[in-house]
Amino acid sequence: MKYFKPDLLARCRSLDDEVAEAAAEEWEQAITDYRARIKAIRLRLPTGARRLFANFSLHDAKLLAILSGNRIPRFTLLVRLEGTPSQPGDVLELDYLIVAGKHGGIAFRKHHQLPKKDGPGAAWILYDEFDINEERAFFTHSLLLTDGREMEIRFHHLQIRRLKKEVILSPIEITEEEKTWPLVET
Amino acid sequence: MASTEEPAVVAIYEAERISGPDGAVQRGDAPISEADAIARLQGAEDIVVCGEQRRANRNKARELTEAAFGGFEEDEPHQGRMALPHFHPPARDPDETHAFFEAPPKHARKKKK
Repeated sequence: MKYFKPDLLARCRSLDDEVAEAAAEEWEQAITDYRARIKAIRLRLPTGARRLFANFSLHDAKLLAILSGNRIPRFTLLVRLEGTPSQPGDVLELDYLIVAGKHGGIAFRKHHQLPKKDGPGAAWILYDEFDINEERAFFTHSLLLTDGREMEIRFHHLQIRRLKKEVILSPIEITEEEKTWPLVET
Repeated sequence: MASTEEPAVVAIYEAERISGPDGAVQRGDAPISEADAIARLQGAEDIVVCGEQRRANRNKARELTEAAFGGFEEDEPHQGRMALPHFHPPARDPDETHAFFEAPPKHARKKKK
């Protein structure tokens, strides 16, 4: 994370008011700097990234699943956006075509300043940043999770899909009955 | 020497999140009591603490979250233009529950009539 840095977030959370307030001012500056960076690179970002930035917020989205290609460099995140009491959040599929080779892939890091507090297996997205690696000509999407982990996804292409009609079932919801679909007329 | 500063005035309101990238928070018309705020949080609904001093707002939002759940997790605002800092229950249980607080110049929106 270049802007929403974990150590800065940890200082923002300080119980010492003076420390927290100084950090909060730095945080506001980080927001301003990130917006300026996005404004500068926006037209060069792939459509999926622009669409995501313009229409959705990943803050507090729950990470439902990660699908990782074995041979093909594809990486897919399934996230449930935060909803409102009257409207549950949409599920988004973020499908990345990953940069192959030793400078590509996905970097996973653990930030120990942010201790794990969530239940087992649960993680939410705290902050995310898009950027361009000018030297190597690819895009990055960094996601900081509530448990202190960070994913830096290096990609060429991002497709986002809003799953409006699909239903995500947990194993406990699978019942002993038939599930059928109507025939599609061609 | 005793301080002559007046204690900061805070007011607590019901809150509703407006979906979308801006992160706007809309507040109710009339302030609610601390007991109502705690009950609202325990019912997985949002509140917002409003006032001119960030420190007082933050401390009250934290105090209410702790009273409701015995702990808290704090988040800074995201990049949305209207996003406010907030507290969650510990381990985010219940999920999607927030005690927002104003951080002037960032304020909650008043409900349109």
